[in-house]
Amino acid sequence: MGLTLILIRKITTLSFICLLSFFLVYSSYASVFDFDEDDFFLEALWHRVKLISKEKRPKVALVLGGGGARGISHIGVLRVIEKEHIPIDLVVGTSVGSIIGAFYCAGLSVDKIDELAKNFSFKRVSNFNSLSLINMFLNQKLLSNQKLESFINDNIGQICFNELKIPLVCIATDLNTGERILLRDGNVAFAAKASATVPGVFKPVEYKQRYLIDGGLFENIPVNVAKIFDADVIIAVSAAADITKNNVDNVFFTLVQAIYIQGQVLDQYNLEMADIVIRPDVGSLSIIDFSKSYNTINKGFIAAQNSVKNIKMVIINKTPEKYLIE
Amino acid sequence: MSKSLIIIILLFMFSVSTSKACNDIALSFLGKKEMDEVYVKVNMSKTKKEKITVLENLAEEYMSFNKFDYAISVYNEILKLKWISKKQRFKYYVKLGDIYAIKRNYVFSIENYKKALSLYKKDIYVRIKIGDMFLKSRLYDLAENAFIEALKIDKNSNAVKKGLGDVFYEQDFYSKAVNYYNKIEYKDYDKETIIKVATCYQNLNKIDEAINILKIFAKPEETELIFFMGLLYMDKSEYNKAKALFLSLIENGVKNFKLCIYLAYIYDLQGENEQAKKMFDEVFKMNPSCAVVNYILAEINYKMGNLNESKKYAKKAYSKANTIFMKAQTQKLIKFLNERAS
Repeated sequence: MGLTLILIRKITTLSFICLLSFFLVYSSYASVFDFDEDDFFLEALWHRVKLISKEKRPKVALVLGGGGARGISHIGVLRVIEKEHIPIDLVVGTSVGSIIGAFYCAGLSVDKIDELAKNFSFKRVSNFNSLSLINMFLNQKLLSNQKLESFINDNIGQICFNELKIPLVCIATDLNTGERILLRDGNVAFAAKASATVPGVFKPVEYKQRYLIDGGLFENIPVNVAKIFDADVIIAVSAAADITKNNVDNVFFTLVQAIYIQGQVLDQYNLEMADIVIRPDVGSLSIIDFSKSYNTINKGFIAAQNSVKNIKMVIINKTPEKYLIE
Repeated sequence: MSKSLIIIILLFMFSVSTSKACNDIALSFLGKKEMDEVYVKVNMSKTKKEKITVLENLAEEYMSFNKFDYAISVYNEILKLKWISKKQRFKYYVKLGDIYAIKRNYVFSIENYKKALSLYKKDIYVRIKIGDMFLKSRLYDLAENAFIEALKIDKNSNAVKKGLGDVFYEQDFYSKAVNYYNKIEYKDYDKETIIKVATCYQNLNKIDEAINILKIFAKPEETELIFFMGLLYMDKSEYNKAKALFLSLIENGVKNFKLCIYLAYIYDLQGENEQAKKMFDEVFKMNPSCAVVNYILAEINYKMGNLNESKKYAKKAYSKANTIFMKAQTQKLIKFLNERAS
């Protein structure tokens, strides 16, 4: 009887341990054999789209918005685009979007762009330092971002727009007239630099008797431009600030907030015209905080991953049936 | 005389402590009969150790019958006993934490684990359990902190490295996840870890690395790993390699819907219409209400010139489609086939 009780006790203890182990080691991965009909259907159709020639499938434009350090998240988006073989026929960029767009359209791998971002510093792309800042405030001498042009040229070569693997349009603003300037010829690095020239910090870029500054002043997310170039599908990546988290406790930051609010209204209007909007969760990141690029890039990756299905569905929907089946 | 007096006093003390033990235990959730039985057993216990054993067995018995709440009550009552040792107290807090984990009440689980940890701060296993609970609660920052603290105690702990890998895996932070998983020795990899590492590489577009990790562990009986390898070869458009793996699984008796449909799909991709149709017909028998199978059969029949059959399958696909996207695509297909017919 005593032995039976001991045995029962041991069995119940063992059962408890097994039950506990099952729940504690409960796997968070789905079995590889689990079948998702919707995923399979999407992939089957997507495979057909990948095989269709460029002329027969929808024209896809990627719009990379401005946002300074937040725009590093575009790299994560590009990683997903590359992984999922999403064809991009045109890139339109503003500010940091132009720079990353330039690298991507020139054919740099996403790994290489990633590496550049992670090793980025202001000293590499400008004469930004304490002395020059003091000079700027005391003598109103703006910083130079000529080094930015050299930095881009060093990595993609001194190429012109017609030598790019994917067409690119960089957006700048005319400081005198307030016009939007579409840069799509000449030296790519020059255009990207002009698109990213922050007013009041860097010297405006002289171009054909105009003085160009950051395109974000006119259009931070230039979806409109993608439409001008007859894109059938527009994927917009918004690295906009979450203005509710901005500091507004002094005159300078209040003015900055006012600019953000104005920009947000225009951004929203533009985004409504996009087929897909990817919003990396970078709203609370400072525009100049490049120290967190690892996390910022990953946020772009996650946001793009979450949008992949929608991107594919939109492209498939706009592909004529005869090209999918024949 | 004095010796007898001492013995009497000791016996008196013993009987007092016995009744005190009974009074301490308020097992009011039990029925009267059960309560009497427990009290009898406790009364019959000569030592504190025996008393604890009786109550532990009661708790375990409740566990075996999935009466978790009763088991929790018993352990809580044991913990009220002031005379239990620190080690015992630690054990029971951990047991409570484990039970709440089974009940998926992670808040109480963590609470009890923390009480255990307050007794033995350097216990790595409880820290790992806390990390796991935060992970299950999707509190990733807290989970990461818990595992980092555990790593400070034992930097070689594979369980901790796995935990940290999981924290980043769950956040789709695949590059960081794989960095931690790669620190685990291969001999300590379990199937879940292997699949997660391969998934990380897949998501980082490093398909070759993903395949390599599976190759290391994919023995013939590891059907999931072999199937995953096949899917990765498909990602690389190496259909012959994928097909070979899928066929080997079928030959080994694996009959899974996803396996069959992917094999059929490979035949379709390679333009082997006859073989594809045959395979999809098999898949159709396994699940006739699967819209996508009907859709693909519609396409295959069209390519083979069987327009009427094609239209039949397309209409079935439309009727079985359960998403707007699928309905829209099948509608497009039907329209296309009707145009061809006219």
